[in-house]
Amino acid sequence: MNVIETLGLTKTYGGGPFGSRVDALRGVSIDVDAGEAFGLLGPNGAGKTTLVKLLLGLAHPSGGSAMLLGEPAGSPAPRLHVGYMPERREYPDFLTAVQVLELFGRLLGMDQRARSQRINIVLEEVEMSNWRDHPVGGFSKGMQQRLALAQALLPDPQVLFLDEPTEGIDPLGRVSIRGILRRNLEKGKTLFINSHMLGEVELLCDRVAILVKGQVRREGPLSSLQASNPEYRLVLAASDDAARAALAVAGDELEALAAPLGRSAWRLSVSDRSELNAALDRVRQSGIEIEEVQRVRASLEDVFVQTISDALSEDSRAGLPGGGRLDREGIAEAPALGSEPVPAAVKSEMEP
Amino acid sequence: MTSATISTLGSPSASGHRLTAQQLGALVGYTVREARNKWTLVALFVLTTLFLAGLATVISVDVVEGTIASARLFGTIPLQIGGNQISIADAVTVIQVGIVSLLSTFGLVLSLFVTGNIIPRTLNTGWVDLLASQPVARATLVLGRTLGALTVITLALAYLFGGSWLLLTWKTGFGNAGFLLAGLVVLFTFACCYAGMVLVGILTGSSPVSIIAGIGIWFLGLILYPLHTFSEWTTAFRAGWPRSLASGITETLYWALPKTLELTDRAAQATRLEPISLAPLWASLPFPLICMALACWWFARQDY
Repeated sequence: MNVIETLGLTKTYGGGPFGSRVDALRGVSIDVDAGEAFGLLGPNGAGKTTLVKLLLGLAHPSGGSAMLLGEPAGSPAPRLHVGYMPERREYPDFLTAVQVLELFGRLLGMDQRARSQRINIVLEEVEMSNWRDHPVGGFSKGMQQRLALAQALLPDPQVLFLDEPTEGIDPLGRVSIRGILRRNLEKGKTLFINSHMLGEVELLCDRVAILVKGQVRREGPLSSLQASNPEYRLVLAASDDAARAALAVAGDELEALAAPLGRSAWRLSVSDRSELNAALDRVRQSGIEIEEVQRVRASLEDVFVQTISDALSEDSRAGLPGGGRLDREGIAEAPALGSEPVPAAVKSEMEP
Repeated sequence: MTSATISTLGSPSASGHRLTAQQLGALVGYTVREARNKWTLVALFVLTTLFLAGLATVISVDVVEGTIASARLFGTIPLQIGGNQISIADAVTVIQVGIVSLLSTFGLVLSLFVTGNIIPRTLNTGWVDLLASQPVARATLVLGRTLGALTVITLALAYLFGGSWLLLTWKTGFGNAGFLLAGLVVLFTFACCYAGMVLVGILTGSSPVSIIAGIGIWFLGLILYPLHTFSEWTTAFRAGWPRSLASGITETLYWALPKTLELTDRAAQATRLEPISLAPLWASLPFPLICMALACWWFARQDY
């Protein structure tokens, strides 16, 4: 069953007589199943937060439709069963952790007993029980992040929207938050993670969509996206020149890697296994020994960079502003995407 | 998805009007707590307490065999009972009219200042997202915060009016119910100006602009009444369209805005136990209602 469903969702900001028009979303159609961990990826300005805001009724769509838990996304009713952890939040600094949760519990319509029970449970879950009566103003960023997670978990939600859930958190904190999210997944909750922390998404999500300039450019199970362009690492007992001649593969499908003296190592990109076998046959026919063949699974970062590069190339061919080329290392080659400072920022924002 | 599948421990149980009432209660409670944590409200409380302490020393009463034998203002000015001099009731009424006048001007402006940032603070990025992503109608958010502000000022006025009424009644034996009624008129005047502040706060998100708007509405109400009553002032303009324009603008504003001067006058009349006309109250009522409706409508259609 789909808990989130959008069809041709569009959102345009501005466009009046005095403002410039920004198409934040351009026909986004996605479905998220119950119990799934879905990752929404994209560079800054891609429209990720706008999509979440439309689903939660924080912004109004310009076109298309969005359903949340089977009801129109803008209506308050489905939000009774949704937890939201925004990237930017500002709790009143004079409230204690318990008072913050009390306020949100009452807004959710929980009675006193249920509130009290849930507050204890979620504070325990995010390991903040010892800080329950401390004012939020004195909390570190990590503690505020945990409180936000506790607040999102308060309604015992069916769907959790998490906007950059581990941003600014130290590695131990990330592991802990990831553990909390995994436990909620095991309980059957649906996670909708909006992030550019690719490593985190890779570790948590079953399925991802990559949003570029308001459009979904790629979507699917993580495993299939990563397997879409198989790559292999070859180590051959030959010099670079001899090995390159034997492989006889086009330059952009072959990349030389560092190798010990007398050996040569390569990263070979092929469309399928028969192409790999053909290349290996040519190596054998040349009398070169094959020392190692290893399948290299593309990282999510590779998929992400490739997707944005493809999107920029398409735009470039179509003569759209912001078109350009993005390669694995030379991200800065891409020109700016109109008003959205996307490509130059992409690399720096990706998790190392 | 059935309600059975979503009804787990701690899941929301309230529905419909009960849920809205609980949400309003939560927002009012939060607003009162927020005000309590600000120095402005603390200052208001301290000022009120000092005022009440001062009032307690203004009138000294000599009681002989269970009845008031004599009373003095500031310990020296005699208030002779039953003679030609001012009676206890008149003295108390004069003091209470003074309090009402003070509150209708200085107190009202201070109240607008204290509550001026409640709505703009709600619109802070990072806070409005959290509130509006809850299962709360946007109108409920605006109404809850507005009722919270009114609760804060009601408590402050209750402390001041109730405190001074009790003190004066205890000291003189004269309990003037009209004084308490005047407190309600002052609260109504505040509510009218505050509704304008809510609308401007929602439109601009700015505390200073919102406070200026509230005080401006109150001040315009003060100056428009004389202009409305004594129409001769328009003779200062050339006959024809300039005079009609000046008169038209004044009359439109007079009828659109709360009649703050007349409301102040009615509060004083109530204190003097004179019969009062409710016309200024009815004529002022559309302004807060329209402002609140516009504020809710505008807030509901915004993207956050």
